[in-house]
Amino acid sequence: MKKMLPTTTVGSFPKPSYLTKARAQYAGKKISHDELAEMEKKATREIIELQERVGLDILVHGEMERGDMTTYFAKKLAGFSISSPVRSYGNRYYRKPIVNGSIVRNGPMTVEMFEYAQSLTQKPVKGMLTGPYTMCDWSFNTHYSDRRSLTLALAEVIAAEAEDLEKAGAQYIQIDEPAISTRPEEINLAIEAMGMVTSGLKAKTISHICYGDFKTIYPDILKLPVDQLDLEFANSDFANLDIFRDPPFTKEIAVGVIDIHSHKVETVEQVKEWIRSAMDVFPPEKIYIDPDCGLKTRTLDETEAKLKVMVRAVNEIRTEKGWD
Amino acid sequence: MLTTVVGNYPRIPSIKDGINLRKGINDEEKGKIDKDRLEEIYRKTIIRTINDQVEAGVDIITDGQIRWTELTYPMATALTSVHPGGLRRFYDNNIYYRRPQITGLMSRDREIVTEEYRFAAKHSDRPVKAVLCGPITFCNLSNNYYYKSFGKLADSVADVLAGEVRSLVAAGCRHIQFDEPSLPLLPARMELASELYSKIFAGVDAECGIFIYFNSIKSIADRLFELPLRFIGLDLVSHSDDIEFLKGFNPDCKLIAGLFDGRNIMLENEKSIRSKIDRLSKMIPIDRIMLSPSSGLEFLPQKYAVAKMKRMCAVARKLTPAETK
Repeated sequence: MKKMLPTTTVGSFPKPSYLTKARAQYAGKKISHDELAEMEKKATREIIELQERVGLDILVHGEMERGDMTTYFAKKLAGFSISSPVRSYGNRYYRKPIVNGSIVRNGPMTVEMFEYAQSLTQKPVKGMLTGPYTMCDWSFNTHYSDRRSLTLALAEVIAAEAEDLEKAGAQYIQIDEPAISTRPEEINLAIEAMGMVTSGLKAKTISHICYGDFKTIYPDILKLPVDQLDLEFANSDFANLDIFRDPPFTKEIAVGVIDIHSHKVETVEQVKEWIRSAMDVFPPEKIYIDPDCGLKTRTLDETEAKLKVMVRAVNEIRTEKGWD
Repeated sequence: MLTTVVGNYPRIPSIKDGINLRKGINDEEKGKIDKDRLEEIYRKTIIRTINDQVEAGVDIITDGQIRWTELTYPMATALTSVHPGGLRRFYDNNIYYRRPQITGLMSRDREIVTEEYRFAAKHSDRPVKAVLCGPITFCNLSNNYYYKSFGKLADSVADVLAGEVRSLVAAGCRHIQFDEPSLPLLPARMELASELYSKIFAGVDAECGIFIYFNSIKSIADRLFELPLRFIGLDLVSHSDDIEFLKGFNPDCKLIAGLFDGRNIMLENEKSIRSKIDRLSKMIPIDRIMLSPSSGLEFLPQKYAVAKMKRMCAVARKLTPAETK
């Protein structure tokens, strides 16, 4: 029997303090790239162990080698430079990429770390990419004539990366598009670009979208050519759930049940209540359970405590329903 | 031609200068520094922000909203029965805000931004503009769990804003701006907006107006210039065709022309700005036009924000002798 309510996470994990320090040392040219890479691998091992310990079903590599989800790729691709930090919210900042030339992929960007993480576990590890629409929206474009030509140029290089991840054995490929709800009038561009990335892939494809107004893009978002959408719900106490009742949701859905912006650890009862309300709207066999967004803003202790609650809530529901 | 800015400003410098607000906030959260030390870092950051604007040549400055995490922050934290809730995207930006939750009768038991104004005014020889979230936008960006209608909520917001505007004027403030990016999204609320501004600004001896950014004014252009305001600021970059709607501009009002893109690092070409000013001057007397970026400058790294302001002030200075004679 297929496992019901598979558990997973969105992608990023908090970096252990030795890695944060090593990244600063590398930026200050005090340690070599190889020394930093060793630390990143050590941290990745620990994140895989954490996920095994908690009992998640589908793992991520934790993004120990990445700072920000757009900057990481911008640094690897030709055609980008990186600016000094701009704010995303509160006290969080990112180094916003600047597009100042034609986008070219010099080689695989994520495959080595994926292969390393997958070699550490029998469970599937997701391949993690940032989608072309979000890469465009979260960069300063000073080169391409318009947003469409930049987005489609990005789609080409991300498609090549997705293909390489699949060749390396990825059974799940997640292409995050958190910016997709920004301009509902551009949703067809985002759909077209995603089509270039996912067409021909046999792996299960997922897209994570968060902190937007889902009302403005539903049901159009069901046309996004991926198998699964991964959405945030806990941050707004599931107030956005009703949007998806009518018309019915047609894809697999990963339901965010952990608020990653709160230090407070959710209770098992609260998470169970949310999962039950999600099962009222989405067919249970199509539901995955995960946190709202990447976990990198929490501490490692908070992360583990929150994920344990999530897994326990899922296990209790499985038992109650006889899905063990 | 005078220049101003819209409001927010980058908090992190492009070149390290020893004032690190990001680290200060993190350190205070972890208990590594105390509140007084953090306060000192805030003050130094605000002074840096003021100096950047003054050195670039901006005539009417702001404090950069350095203490705010979002436009709604001062009201969501100062007002009784309002508190910041879950994160939402701020219009079409990769910036997020905590949606205010209104759970009871709103009241202003303490000042909202007047103390921030006093501090900035003390550290600037240029006039400081006080900025608040406008009433329509505040209602639009909030979740209302208490008031029976949008109108009743808006009335209550107007009451607290009226109180704050009077505090600001008493503190010496002569330029007060409400940011109203949501106004074009709610054209049916234009009459209400007019009533609210009349109530808030009645008898106030200061330049009081609004700034609309991100959204096109197309939906409200026919009534926008009837609002009882001393100035209207417009983002003429995000929707450059909006210039056409200014044919009906009220000559008693001033225009803050947001012609410099606050959201892209590319520097505007002086010639293209001058041709836009030429178009504007055919519709509005040139001495009623002030230049500004199209939005707050926080969307840019600091060095580009400085470059934008310098370019803007250079254009304004060149225009001044020839065209205002």
